[in-house]
Amino acid sequence: MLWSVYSLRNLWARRVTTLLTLSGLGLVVFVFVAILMLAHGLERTMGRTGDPANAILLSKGALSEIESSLSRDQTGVLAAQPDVVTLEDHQVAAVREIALQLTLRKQDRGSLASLSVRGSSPVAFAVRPRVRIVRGRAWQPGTTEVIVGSQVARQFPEARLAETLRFGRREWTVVGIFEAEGSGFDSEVWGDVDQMMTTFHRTAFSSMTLRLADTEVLPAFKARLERDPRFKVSVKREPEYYEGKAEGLARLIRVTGLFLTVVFSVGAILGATMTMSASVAHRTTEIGTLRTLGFTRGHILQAFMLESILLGLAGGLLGVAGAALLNRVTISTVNWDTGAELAFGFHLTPGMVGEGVLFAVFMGLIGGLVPAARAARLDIVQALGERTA
Amino acid sequence: MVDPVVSLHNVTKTYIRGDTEVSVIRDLSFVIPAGTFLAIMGPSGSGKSTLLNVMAGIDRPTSGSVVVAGTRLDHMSEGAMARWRARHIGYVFQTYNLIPVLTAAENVELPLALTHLSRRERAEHVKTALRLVGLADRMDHYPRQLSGGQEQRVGVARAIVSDPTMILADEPTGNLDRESADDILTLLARLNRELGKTIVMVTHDPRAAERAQMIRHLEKGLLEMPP
Amino acid sequence: MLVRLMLRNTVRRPVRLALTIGGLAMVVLAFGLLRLTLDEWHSGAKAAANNRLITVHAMSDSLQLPLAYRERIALIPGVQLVHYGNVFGVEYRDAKESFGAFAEHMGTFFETYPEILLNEGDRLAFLKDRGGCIIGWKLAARFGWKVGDVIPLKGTTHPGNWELVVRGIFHSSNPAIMGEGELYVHWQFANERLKSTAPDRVDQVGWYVATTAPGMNPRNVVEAIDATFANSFAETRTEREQAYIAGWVARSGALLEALDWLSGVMNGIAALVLVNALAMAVRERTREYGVMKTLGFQPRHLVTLVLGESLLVALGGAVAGLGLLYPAARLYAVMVAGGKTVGTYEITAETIWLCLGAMVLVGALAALWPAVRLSRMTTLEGLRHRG
Repeated sequence: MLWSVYSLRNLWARRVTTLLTLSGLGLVVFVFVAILMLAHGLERTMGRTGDPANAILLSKGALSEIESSLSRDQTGVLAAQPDVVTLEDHQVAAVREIALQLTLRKQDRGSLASLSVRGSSPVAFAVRPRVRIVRGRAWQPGTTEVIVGSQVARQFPEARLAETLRFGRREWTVVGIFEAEGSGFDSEVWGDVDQMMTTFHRTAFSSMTLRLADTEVLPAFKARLERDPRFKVSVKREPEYYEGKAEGLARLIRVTGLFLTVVFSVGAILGATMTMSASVAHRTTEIGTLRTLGFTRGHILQAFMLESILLGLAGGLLGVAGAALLNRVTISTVNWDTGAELAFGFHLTPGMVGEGVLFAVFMGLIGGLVPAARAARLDIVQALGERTA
Repeated sequence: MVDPVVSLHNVTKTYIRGDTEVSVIRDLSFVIPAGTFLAIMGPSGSGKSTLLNVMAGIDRPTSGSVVVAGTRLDHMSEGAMARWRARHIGYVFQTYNLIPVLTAAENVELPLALTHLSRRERAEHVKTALRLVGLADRMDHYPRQLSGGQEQRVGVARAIVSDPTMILADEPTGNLDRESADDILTLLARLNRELGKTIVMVTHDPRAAERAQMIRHLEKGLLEMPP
Repeated sequence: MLVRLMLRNTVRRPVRLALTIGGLAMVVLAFGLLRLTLDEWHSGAKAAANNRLITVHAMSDSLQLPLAYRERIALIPGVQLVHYGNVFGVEYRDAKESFGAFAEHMGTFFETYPEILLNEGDRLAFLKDRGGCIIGWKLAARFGWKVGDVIPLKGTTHPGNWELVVRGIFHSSNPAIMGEGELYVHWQFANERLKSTAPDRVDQVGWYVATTAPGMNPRNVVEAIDATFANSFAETRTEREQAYIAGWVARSGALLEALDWLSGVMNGIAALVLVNALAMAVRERTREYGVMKTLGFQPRHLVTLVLGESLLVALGGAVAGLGLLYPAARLYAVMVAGGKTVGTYEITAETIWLCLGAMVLVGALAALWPAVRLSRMTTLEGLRHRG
């Protein structure tokens, strides 16, 4: 008990230095945790996009919906496959869609923005039960009504309820806002597929998404379809498809972030070493006194290590607290892999809090190692500064 | 006769300074009986601090045997020495050497942290020690809030709190004014007289030495034999 | 005299000096890497040509424009040359080993992009062989391809199997605009095949690139082009090349802002490390400063000492950090690209000045508080200070 009091009070005694050092440590932890939060937020968004029971079909070789092209005839036959769920109204749980990146000129600054547009049909809600309309209603098939995801409504004032989007020389009225559990669909605009196809001069669909009877059948389903020479399709489990779409971006965030964090954590560690070194140098007489009283070298080592660990701990808590403020902040950016605009946020997990604090403690420990060892190795007589006479 | 507390035999301590060898203590042999209040006097450079340090186990002799409180010191490991010192030695420094971030009471408690006493028992001992030196009312003050004399009294309290076999004092009054110095010496004398504590004090001040029972002079590493 | 004292003071505690410079160097390194990333993103826009205009479908970059537009664009006053191209999506071996490929009209390609540096003999050989391709040297290095090799590819946008003969390997005088990791084929060749594999996409282009005549104001041409097709089947959106690229960069705005912000944080850490070291140094020497004051030194002399020391150390850290930046940039580039590209980030003079400038600023700021404290301290306090 006396040890922690001793260490804490010593940190406080030189509080300016202590504060500066732990701020440096805290900043590093802040960035570290923020990077983790961002990458995780991205993966979470992508991972939640899509249902494990769904299979998404693209034309063979297409890497994304934008490149893919499925004809009407093809999709007709594909929808009739066994294993696809049949709904209450005898409809097959299959939705044919086209996906496009729309270029919109934003009203406020005239700058360009990408909008992910999906031409779909009402059966989409049966295929994707996790997408729900929270305000307004679904679009009327055959009209130029659209619904927008919650992120779109947030980012574009011109896409709010009852507003009108203008593209393709037509007017599209926003009649509803939907939420998709924080997934990529939240950054999309959905409307009638036929209207979209006409407007974009498309004659083929981008993709078809099927809801399967259960998640286990997918591998067999996939094998069967991909081998059939009649169809030229590639089949993926819906979540896996979307996750793959953000791989590049997630990797970029992690690599850049962690590379940088490691680099400047060295700076913070050196700062801690400096602080602890000075502390030791300042307290040599004290060390000699303690050794005289009967405290061992091990005790001295422990005391200084404890101090640097506490320093790290305090810095870590500060950094994590700062990062926690970022929680739920969303940013919207273009995903280079697909060209699609995607909104995702910082997402904090308890694991990250632990990792951040551990990282800080680790930094403090490394930083304090050499000074603590030097303190422990002092010769008593020298430490007391006695004359050798 | 009672076993002597300190028994030195042919103790020599040399330092290497650059190319030369400096003998600080030369072939010293003497004993200190229990219950003595001994003052060792000598000019600076005479080796008296070194002698004290050897007795405390802080410094090792180059040759010779050192037996203190029944234990042979010169061959002990460092860890064992630290444990031994905590049990048997109370040390009073010229510069008081209180830990600045601890209160008077906490400073006095420090040696007890090395024991297995409970918190309550420790608190009891601390109170007793502080009362003995007359500073019970300044328990929660920090060293910077105390005068030099008061700091040294805390130093003495710290030296006696774990009831050590022997108290060693290195110029305890060296930094004090007349009055405070007097208080400390009176205190030490009391400890010796009333509690039978063995005290070895190093000093260059004759007036301080007078307050002790016995005086020995150390000159150039050699102890002047009593007449 | 003061300078000598300043220098000696700085190296008084070599261990601490080393630690401080080490810490600062790390921060400068991180700062430098960040700027490199940002520069890379902005480089495209900066390096764009002044006289090239990009025309795409107004609704979406991924929609195509009719080939017929070509003649109409050529007729617009001020347009010197009209070029067009498509994305030529390919898979080589498997989806992971992808790279960019384009089908461009070779009659105008080289005139439109003078950035392409290609041996004349190879260029002629390529122009003669419709089934051939030219590749950037980075792509060639990545897979070990040489002139004369046949590359088997699976088309995604242009379905079917393609066997392309490498007719030339080119360099670029401006990699930010004309990359060196891509493959180019004849537009006619790609289009021909579509007639049997995807007839509904024949005779369509992904973009037009119009080169304006010298002396012509690009804005007029931009407006003229879009006006021409304002009420057509496919409306167009024309921009200067620079604006087009900048537009894409702006869409990653949030990430860029985050990186910008991050580089600010770096400087914060650097400042903290330096202030810490300085404060310690000043505290240790307080007594000395007190003595100096009795000798007649003015507060401004002492402030100069502290400031000078701070700047010296800061610059030391900057130089060390920049030295580390060169090897680090190479490592960083490899990691970020996931091993897909060869090469390194370019460290421009601008980056170097920026790093130095930032450190000078940090050095000045870090000295502020210790200097103020020092100048306010009375002589007596200094002498009394127990250090």
